[in-house]
Amino acid sequence: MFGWLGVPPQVLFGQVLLGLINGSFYAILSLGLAVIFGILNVINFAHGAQYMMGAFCAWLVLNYLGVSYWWALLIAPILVGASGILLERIFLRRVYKLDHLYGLLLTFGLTLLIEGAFRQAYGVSGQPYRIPDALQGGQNLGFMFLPNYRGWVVVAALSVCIAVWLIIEKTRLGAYLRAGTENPALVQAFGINVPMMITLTYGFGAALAAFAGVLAAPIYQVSALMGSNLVIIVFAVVVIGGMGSIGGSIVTGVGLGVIEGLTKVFYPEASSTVIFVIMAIVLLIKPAGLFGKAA
Amino acid sequence: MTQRSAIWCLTGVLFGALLIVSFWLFSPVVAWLAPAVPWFTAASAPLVGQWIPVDTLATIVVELLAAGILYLPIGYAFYVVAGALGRRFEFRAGDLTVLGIGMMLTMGLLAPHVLYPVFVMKVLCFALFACAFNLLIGFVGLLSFGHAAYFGAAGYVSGHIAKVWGWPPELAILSATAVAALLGAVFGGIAIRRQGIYFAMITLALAQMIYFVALQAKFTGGEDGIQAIPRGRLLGFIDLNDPLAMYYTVFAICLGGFLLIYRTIHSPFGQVLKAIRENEARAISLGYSVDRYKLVAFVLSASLAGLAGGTKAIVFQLASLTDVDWSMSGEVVLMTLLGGIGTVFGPIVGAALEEWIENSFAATGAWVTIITGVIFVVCVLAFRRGIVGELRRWLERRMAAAAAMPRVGTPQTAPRARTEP
Repeated sequence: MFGWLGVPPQVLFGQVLLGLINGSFYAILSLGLAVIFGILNVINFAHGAQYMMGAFCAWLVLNYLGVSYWWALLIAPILVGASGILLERIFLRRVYKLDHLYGLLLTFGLTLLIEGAFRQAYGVSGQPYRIPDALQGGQNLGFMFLPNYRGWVVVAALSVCIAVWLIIEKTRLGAYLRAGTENPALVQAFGINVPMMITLTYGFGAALAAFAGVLAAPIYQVSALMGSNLVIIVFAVVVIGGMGSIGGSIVTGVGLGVIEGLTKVFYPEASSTVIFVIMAIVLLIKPAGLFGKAA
Repeated sequence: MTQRSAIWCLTGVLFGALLIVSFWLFSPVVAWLAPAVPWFTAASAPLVGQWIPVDTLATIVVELLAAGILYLPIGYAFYVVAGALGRRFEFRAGDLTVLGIGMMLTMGLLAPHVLYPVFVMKVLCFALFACAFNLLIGFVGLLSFGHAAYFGAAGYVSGHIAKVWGWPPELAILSATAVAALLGAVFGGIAIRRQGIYFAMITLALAQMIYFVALQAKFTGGEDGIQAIPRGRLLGFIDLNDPLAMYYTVFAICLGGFLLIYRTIHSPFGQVLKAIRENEARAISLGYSVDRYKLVAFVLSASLAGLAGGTKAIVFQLASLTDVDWSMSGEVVLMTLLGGIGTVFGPIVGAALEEWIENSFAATGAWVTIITGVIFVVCVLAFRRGIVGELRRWLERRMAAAAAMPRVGTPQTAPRARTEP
């Protein structure tokens, strides 16, 4: 009765929820990519690897130190953020003056390195991560069954996105960041330590990716290759949304996740390609992306 | 052909032959050094055995030693000969190309007699693939980060046509090339709507779409790929199951591809492409329809990548997901970067080296990926000209210094001020 085109509501809403979860991951990751690109002029291919490192961090501290999920949610972003700061200091800052493509190639190489190391150490098979006790079980909403953990992921991910959006759009720190995106030399002339800001921004972007990774750990299995396919989808999301606007990244990410979920219900064969098809259509109609400014 | 070209070409032939001899000597030298393997294994096991498979490492160290023993003298001989030639003639930029052509032709013709033919064919296919990629990044300045799509899709097409439809190999490869060209026209048409880094991201995303299609479509065989593709008879009478017949067919195909690329970059069309690379806005203001030039170059590059992929499927009798994966797109970038972006022979050298590395490290599992990553990082940070680019620069400097040096006496100081600003 509540079904739609013959699809049971449980299936429909279940996929929409999963789409919402994926969408919030897309949103967090594309947000990080956009912030990093804005100020570093580097497309961070390692974003997927940093997401994977976040998930692995959570898994490692749980299995070797017995640290709970909630602490991991704090520790993993800090550790991965710190590793990001190191990467920026050692490698990335050497390519800022070069053509953009070298930044992409450098982070691509770093991704191969990181993923290879994790694959060598832990193999390719996924490691299960248990849902924390407080979020076991679920709610019956009448039209669907909502697992608590999935509800939490959507709420947590979207809150983080909105918090980042508020920081960048409404605070003084965000104003520096936006100014640094427009004209770093002038911002530096006003006495702001731009190199430091660049380093911290990269660390922050990496930490965001790691946060998404920890959230993802109990839903998807933790494996060395979990990030590489995701980052390419996020690239498509970024192309669709355009990197000009933070709010735009969030809306595009979540929207595309839901569309992908719906495709899984109505035409499952196309679910893995639908985002790329949308990207092609958007490029044909509005080459600068939905929220982008024409170059 | 002038006398100077002939001399440069002969030098290339000589050094090509020397390298072939060194390949032939490689395994005896490795065998001669083999007693060092257990010693090295025993020595390094307590130190790093926990993380690294030491026996493979020892084998690789021995291979590197052998390479050093063989190639250092050849390198020194090259240093001396090139220097002598530089003093004898006034140096011109085309000389190195002539040298390279002589060297590559000699090596290509002789290689299957001293190396495993399938390995050389693999190198040739990847070399053509990398040259096709280099046509875009080196001469138009477009980073296509999804070139595996054309390479891999062409492999599937040629495999399917040869196996299921039973067409002869030449038609299978040609159809695969045509499909790759079509795919290139569609994807190129979409991707050139954005510039710079977006172009790379779009091509990567579109290629990932092809990967998912290959994973799900019926005719590609999913995870298994298309196996046992028949090699068949070329033009109805040459049996390609004979390794040497297959080899010279592949050699002819790749040579044709290289010639086409060489002709393209040295044509007026190629000059316009370089103008776009140097300053797109200016090319537009000079009245060139930049997008059309970019699209034609993209289609050309995609079809040549398809030619390489279709041929590879026939050689290996296999079309699989590996060839459409994003890591393959990365590999072709690395080959080009390692050999030298924007050089004529760089991608060939890069492909050979990359395949050699992959072959040597194949047994170490994920270490191949780690090492590839390290090479990537090193190349981007410190070695952006690549091997051929660095060699070219070194030779040009040496020639310039030799030309500037007075015949007798006075110690050589810095090379004479360069004319360019």
